[in-house]
Amino acid sequence: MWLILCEPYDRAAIWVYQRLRARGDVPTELVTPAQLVYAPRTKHWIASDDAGLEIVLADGRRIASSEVTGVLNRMVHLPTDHLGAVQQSDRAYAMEELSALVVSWLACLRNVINEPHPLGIGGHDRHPTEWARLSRDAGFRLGHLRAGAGSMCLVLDNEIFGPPTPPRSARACARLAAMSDTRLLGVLLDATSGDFVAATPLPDLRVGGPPLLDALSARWSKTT
Amino acid sequence: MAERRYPRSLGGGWYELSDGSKVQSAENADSAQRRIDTGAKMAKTGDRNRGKDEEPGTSPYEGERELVFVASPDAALRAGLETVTSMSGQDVSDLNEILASAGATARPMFGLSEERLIEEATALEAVAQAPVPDLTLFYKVEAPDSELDALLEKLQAAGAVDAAYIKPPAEPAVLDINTMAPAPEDAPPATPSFVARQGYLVAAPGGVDANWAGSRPGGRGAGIRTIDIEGAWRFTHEDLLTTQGGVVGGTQSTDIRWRNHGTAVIGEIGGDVNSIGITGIAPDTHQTAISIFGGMGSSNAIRTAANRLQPGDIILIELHRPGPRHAFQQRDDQLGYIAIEWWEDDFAAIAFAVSRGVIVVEAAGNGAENLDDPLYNTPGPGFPSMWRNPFNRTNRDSGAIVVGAGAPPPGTHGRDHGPDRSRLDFSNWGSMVDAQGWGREVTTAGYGSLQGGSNEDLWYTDTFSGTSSASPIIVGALAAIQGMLRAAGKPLLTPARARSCLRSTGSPQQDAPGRPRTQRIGNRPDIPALWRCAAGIKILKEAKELAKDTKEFVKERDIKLSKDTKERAKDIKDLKERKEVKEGKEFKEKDKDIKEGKEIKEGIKEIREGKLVEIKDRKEIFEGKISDVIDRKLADVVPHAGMAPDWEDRISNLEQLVEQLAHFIAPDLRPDVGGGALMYEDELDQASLQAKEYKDAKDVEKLPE
Amino acid sequence: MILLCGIPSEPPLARVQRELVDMGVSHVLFNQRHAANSKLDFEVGRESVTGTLTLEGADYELDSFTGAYTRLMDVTRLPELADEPAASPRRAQTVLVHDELVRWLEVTPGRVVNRSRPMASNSSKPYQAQLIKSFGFATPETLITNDPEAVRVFRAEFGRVVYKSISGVRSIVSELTDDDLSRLHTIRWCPVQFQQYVHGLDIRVHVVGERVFATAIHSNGTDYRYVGNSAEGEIDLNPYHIDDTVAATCVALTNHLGLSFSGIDLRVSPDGKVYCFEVNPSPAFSFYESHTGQPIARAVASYLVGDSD
Repeated sequence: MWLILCEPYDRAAIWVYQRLRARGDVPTELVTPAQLVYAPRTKHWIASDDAGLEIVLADGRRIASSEVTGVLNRMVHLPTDHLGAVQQSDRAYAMEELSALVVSWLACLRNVINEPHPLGIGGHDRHPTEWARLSRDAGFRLGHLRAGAGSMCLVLDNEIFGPPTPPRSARACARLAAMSDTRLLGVLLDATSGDFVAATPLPDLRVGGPPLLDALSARWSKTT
Repeated sequence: MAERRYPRSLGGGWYELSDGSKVQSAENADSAQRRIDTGAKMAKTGDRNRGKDEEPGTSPYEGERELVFVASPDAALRAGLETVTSMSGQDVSDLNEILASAGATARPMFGLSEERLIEEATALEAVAQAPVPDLTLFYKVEAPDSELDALLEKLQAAGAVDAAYIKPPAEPAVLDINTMAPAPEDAPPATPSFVARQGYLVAAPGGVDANWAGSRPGGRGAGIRTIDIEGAWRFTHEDLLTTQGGVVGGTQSTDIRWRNHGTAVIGEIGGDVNSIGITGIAPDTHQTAISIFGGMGSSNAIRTAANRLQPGDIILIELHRPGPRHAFQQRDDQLGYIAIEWWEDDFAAIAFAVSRGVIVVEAAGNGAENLDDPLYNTPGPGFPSMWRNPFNRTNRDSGAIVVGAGAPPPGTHGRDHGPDRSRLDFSNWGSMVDAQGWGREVTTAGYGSLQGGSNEDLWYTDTFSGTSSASPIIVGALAAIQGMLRAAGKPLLTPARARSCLRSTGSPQQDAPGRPRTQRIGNRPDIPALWRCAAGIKILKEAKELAKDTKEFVKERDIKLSKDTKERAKDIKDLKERKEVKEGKEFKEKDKDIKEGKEIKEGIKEIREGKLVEIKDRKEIFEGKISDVIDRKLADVVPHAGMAPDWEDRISNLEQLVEQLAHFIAPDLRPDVGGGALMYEDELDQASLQAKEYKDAKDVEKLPE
Repeated sequence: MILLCGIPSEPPLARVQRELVDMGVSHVLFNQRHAANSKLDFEVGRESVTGTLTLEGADYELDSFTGAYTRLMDVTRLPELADEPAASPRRAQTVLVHDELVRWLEVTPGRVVNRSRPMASNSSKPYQAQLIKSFGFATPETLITNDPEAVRVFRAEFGRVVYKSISGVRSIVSELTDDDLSRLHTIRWCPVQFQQYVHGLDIRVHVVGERVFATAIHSNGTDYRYVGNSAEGEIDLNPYHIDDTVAATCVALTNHLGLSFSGIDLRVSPDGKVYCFEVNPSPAFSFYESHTGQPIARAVASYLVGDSD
């Protein structure tokens, strides 16, 4: 089973979900953070020989780590509306525990793109100064954002997707993704100079078009 | 001006008019005759003139057809100034050629660059399950109307286009567009107060009880913003001067019919509080307007409005469109006109606004249509394949509040349109119509038929009509409630809650001959009842006690009934024995007591009074429909309640939920170590802080981290 | 030059500072409590990260710092902010300086003990545990669930079971008793971590760069960190020799997590299995050093200065 984990308004993720589902190769499910958090039955274990999870969602769907062979992780935040009824002293604590738990859930699944990090369940998002520093180390020159002058480059595991990018910039994009431990990274470049403007682990995937879908599908199909 | 035969002098200061009447004084005769002449040029006021040929010279409303296409997401289109490009490298030269050859341009329907649209966080629910259109995929083609049909065909064949359709022009949902003419004589120096003619302001059931709201803090809509979406307005009107912010989008139509319409709408909601003219239902509401003209279009207008507003504010859509019933053709009698959410891009825009927490009030339309008709399940020509009929809310639900038109109390302004709150003959109806407002005899600004003359700023009318006049009444009522909630520091109504409160409170729809209340147009709002619903009283405790009281009441009633039945049986026996038929009348009265009066009155004393239980509830409780009452109350508070089949279980489930939940790992097992670092600091100057930190530090002393 | 950040009297920071003084290393101490009168500006330029730190009226060029040690406490709990209203300039400036400092620490070259991104793994214990497992340490059998029945089954299987936090908000490790079973329903709305209780000797390993200091802790409570709370609590710390494999694993794990300094909690079971409970990215090592005399502070100071060891 492939899982698309995303906010309910994430058009790009929904596009991936709808397209992959239509292809029909592998059962594909879309799950929102709310559905995960409100799941009536969850079990997560770390045992001597393995780590895994079993989650039954409120709508009856079952997620078992043994059956999941690929995950697109686009979650951004966890809802905590249901904690309104919790006594004050426990509310903040419960939120911390929940965040920690979801990160661990994702860590026990196979082939998760992008992997979670305790600082952000969607992955390795960073402050612009950090991206700037990393991109410089990746070989970019730092550019400036001008209205309408940007072009987006998508990197998935060293492969480049999106509109044509000058080779030097493309190589730097791939390096940046690797250095930042982000398998799927969107890099905004100055369209004329190829300079680095910004990076995000949550790019608009539609820029990658059907070739990106092919690539995701190929990677997940290789999971053992 | 051509010489008139009338008024004709009869001598002695009397004059005869063309309609045979006689008037004293030349001045009066002149003005009266002019009014007759003007009225004769138009179709008659009062009852609709169905099916008759229109007078020559009348024209349909200024309107623009809109050509919309939905791009394929794979193409990741970007619309530039001249051409369209595909960010995913797809070949879109065919699309560009089609546009160029017609001298047309494609604009993102929602007016912003695609990146910004993608970043906009909307709270659309479970999108993958209930398809809500993706705003970033809609494009509007700007081209001369004569090119639209040919363009449509070509676009439908283009690679990057998933769907393309043409929307017929939107019209304002008012009746008798040509009949409300301004009275010719000039307005007096000071406009009299017409408030007494605004029957919709008084208490329910005749009105919405804006008067009650006006006496409450915030009940005039202070702090609440509304945006009216239609064609034109006269914001310089003498009675619309305060809290009106003017037109904030689009270009106004110059057609006076649009302008009268908009003015009337603004007046109903927010006519100024003063001694002249009218007073709006919620006069402190801040009202602005967006015109669909000037290239804006209805769906972009809705979206623009949503972006200007905060959650709890209100958008009013005063438009309807010709629907499939008569092949999408414009008609002066508006037959077959329907609510605009039936069209994909308008649906998307409304859903977007609702997802922002903005309440959208939408006219149901004046097409005399049953919106539940299966006719509406068939998509319009060129509609995208994912389209579903939104008139059936189980398919998809825009979240809007749809308003039908009901009759005012008979005798209003001396006229009778059928029983109060019955469906007016032109009003659309159906399960999706949430509430009704007055669809006739609405006194407000504009048109000039009540007070006219040459200065539009002084015009008033007595006969604003249609689902056009009904919808602002809902807006006014909601604005009053939102204002009261705001003043009370309570959360404002969400679109869902506004709809559920409107549906569950208010003065109910009545039958009319040939127009039974099963042709649903909903209840007329009753602001005090709406307030009770909106204010969200803690109902659990009350519901449980209500349940307990109800059970006891029912038990007692049963006991009382059986007691009375025994007595009655005894009486009957006596009667039979005594053969005194005269006492039949008494028995009838006794029956009446038993059925309606005594037990209810005594039972009700035991049921929690006032806040929770309305007259309708009491009746239902008596009828044993206890679970319905509880259901409604519970639905107001906790949308997910109701897993257990029995209402008692439901309440106890909720209690468990709402009980102060505690974590398994109690706070005393979670020592607070944050202040430990300060343990050794010398200059902690606040004594209490020092004490606290040292206490913490003692616990923490042995703690390595 | 070395930058120290935190509360000057806090033992770990104070000890490292003492060592730097001993070693004659020039350093600057950013006292968090004086943040309102401090300023930090930096820029990630095309070639380097530059900027200025202003402390107690003196300016320091940021690129003159070759190392930094941070023991920052939660800025919102500083006594200087206790009476400050929410929107006060003083509060805003204090928070701003802390933000800027943390951001700069992430991007500045040099030896930073420790950067905040790597420290974050500790805020999800099971997440960290999965990483720890991949390095060959044993981890206790763990179940995190909201299903009371699953907990009962787990307890039946493993006998003695403890429960504790999984987030950065610590809890005192407690044993699951029969009494606790009656309130298991409260896990329904927030899952809780249950773990097999592992008998053994507690070892705390401090890793500084490539160096390893191991300390054995003998105590009679379930959670030795809180033993002092109970009436009968006793605790005894001694230096301990761990074998090379374990030491190497500790160093590799620390390194993999992106840390230069860590406190690793081990427990060696009677059968010799080495369990790892946690890698602490900001160890308050002074507790151990004060009991055993192990020169951890000196090692940190040396590391900061770049001494190879």
